[in-house]
Amino acid sequence: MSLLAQSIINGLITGSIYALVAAGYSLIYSTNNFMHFAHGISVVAAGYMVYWLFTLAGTPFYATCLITILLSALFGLAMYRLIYLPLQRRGSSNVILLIASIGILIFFQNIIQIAFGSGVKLIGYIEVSRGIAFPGGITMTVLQIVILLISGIIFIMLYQFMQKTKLGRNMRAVSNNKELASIVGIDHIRISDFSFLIGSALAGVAGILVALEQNLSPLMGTNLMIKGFTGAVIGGINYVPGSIIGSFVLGMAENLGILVLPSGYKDAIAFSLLFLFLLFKPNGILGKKEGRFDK
Amino acid sequence: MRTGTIFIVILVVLGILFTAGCADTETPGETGEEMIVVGIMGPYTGGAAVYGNAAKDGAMLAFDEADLPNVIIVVEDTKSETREAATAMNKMVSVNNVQAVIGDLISAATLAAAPIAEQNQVVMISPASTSTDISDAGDYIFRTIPGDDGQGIFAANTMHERGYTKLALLYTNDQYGNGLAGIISEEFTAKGGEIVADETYEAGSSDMRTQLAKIKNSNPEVIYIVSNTPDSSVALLRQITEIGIDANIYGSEGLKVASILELGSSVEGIVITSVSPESEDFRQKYMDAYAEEAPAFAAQAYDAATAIIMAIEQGATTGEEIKNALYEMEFDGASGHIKFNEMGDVEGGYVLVEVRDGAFVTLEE
Repeated sequence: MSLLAQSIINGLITGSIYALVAAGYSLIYSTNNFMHFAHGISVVAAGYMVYWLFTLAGTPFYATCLITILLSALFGLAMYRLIYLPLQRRGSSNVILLIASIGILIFFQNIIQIAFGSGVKLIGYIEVSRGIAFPGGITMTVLQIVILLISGIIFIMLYQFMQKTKLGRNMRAVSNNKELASIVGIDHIRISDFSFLIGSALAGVAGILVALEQNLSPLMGTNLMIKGFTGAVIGGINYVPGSIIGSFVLGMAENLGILVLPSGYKDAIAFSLLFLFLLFKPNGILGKKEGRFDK
Repeated sequence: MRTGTIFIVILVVLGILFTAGCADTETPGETGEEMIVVGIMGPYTGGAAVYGNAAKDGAMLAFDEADLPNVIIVVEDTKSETREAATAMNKMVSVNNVQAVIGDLISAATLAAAPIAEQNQVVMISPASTSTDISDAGDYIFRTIPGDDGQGIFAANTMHERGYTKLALLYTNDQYGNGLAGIISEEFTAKGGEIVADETYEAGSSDMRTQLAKIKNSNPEVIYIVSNTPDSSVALLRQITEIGIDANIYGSEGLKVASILELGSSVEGIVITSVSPESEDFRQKYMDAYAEEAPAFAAQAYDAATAIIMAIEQGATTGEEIKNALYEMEFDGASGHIKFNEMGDVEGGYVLVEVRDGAFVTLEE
């Protein structure tokens, strides 16, 4: 029983990290309509930023977090303005943008490797210690509780923002129908700017939490991106709340699945789930019907 | 449109250049007919890069010392991937015309490249691959590190002698992990012990919480960890503490990386089964050359290079001649006494290393 409870908690923690990655990713996808795989590198870059500012340079921790989120947002914007937008203006197809995003991912992975070395980096903000034992045989560290809380708060804020603010509504309008949105006077480039800013700021938060909870290595972005993408597809890649739910489903499935199956199948479970959804429910759990903007 | 395409091409080319890393010749000398090309391959980027660079530095130390005028060194990065290892070996055989190769490190990668070396009569000496399958990989395939059967038996014996009866295994889901864990499991149960949990993880992953929850639930007295990527090692050791497992922790030599020491007091008392330490003489030499402690596999790579150098000094010029010379030779190397048996393996000895006061301390046997 305690094993089951602990696995559910583990699934939630894993899921919330996937969801932070997936939320930003799907926000950018829904308004821009192309795969921004370099989103993974935003997460890793944020993690290394924390390592650099906090562990190496000794900046106070909360200032580090603030600067990191800010710089992540600008990093995302820079990718859009300097790479994607010029390509779009030259009429590049979404496939070209996809390839460019993979190029950016690999490029920055290697830049990080050159700058920081290929070894594992630890932030060392929280000393490694035994987690708190809860009734029901669950053990959680304070950080893990914080991760669950922060991601919960962020998802609620993101939802409110998308529903209640003018900018959020405009973003949804663009994601629904770009042409129609531009006819009513919504500047889609401005909307893209904001989607990259907000999406990459989310990646910054994810990066900080991943850096604290796991460790840093230059190549971790690929794995995070794949899992975030899988979660987004399961939940509905063009709808932010969907991709958040999908990420939690993925985290749960991975952790509960290996209670029954040998643990070597963890990734196999994730990708089987991806296949099943692509085959039978390509728009995901909450995703919108195909055809609305896939013209 | 055209500039866009050019931009992408540049981006991709840069990406390839950077990922290809060290794929260039270290000593661009004359490629005359009398030159002998020796390859060094291993992971210089990717999860196992720490070990790969250590091995490359160790091997280069031997070549720099010997300073043979008729030897060219070629280095290929294999990122510890089987596909890359096969590609690197193919390239070195067909483009560089190598006669001998030092590498790869990861067993699966070595085994992927071995058939190509064997077919083309190129000697291959791995400084780190311990999978038992390497023994049967071919006549041209050697290694300067003893195989897993030795370490597995040593680990199982040690844990049995220390009175443990309930063992949990946690290992990387690859050739090395499955091989070593299999041997330990066999030996430990043969001695009357019980394997209470048998869990794996993908190399490089950093979330093992549910595996650890299962292990915790099985109440082991001791956990044996087989890990060959530092990021996984750090992650799982940290999660063992966080999830509150009280069992004693043992592990294979892959755990002997400096980054785990950063975990502080939570890694105190971890016992690592490791091949006998490098000679004092080598340790000093390495320190002088690179200003750091010799990491794992540097000494074995130094010995692999020394073996090839000795063969060349004896007049061997082709892969076949080097191979024949290797089976004949015997010397006291940096990692111990080197004498290849008919499988191309070395005997080697093992010691226990314990983490004490934030440092790796070799225990006296």
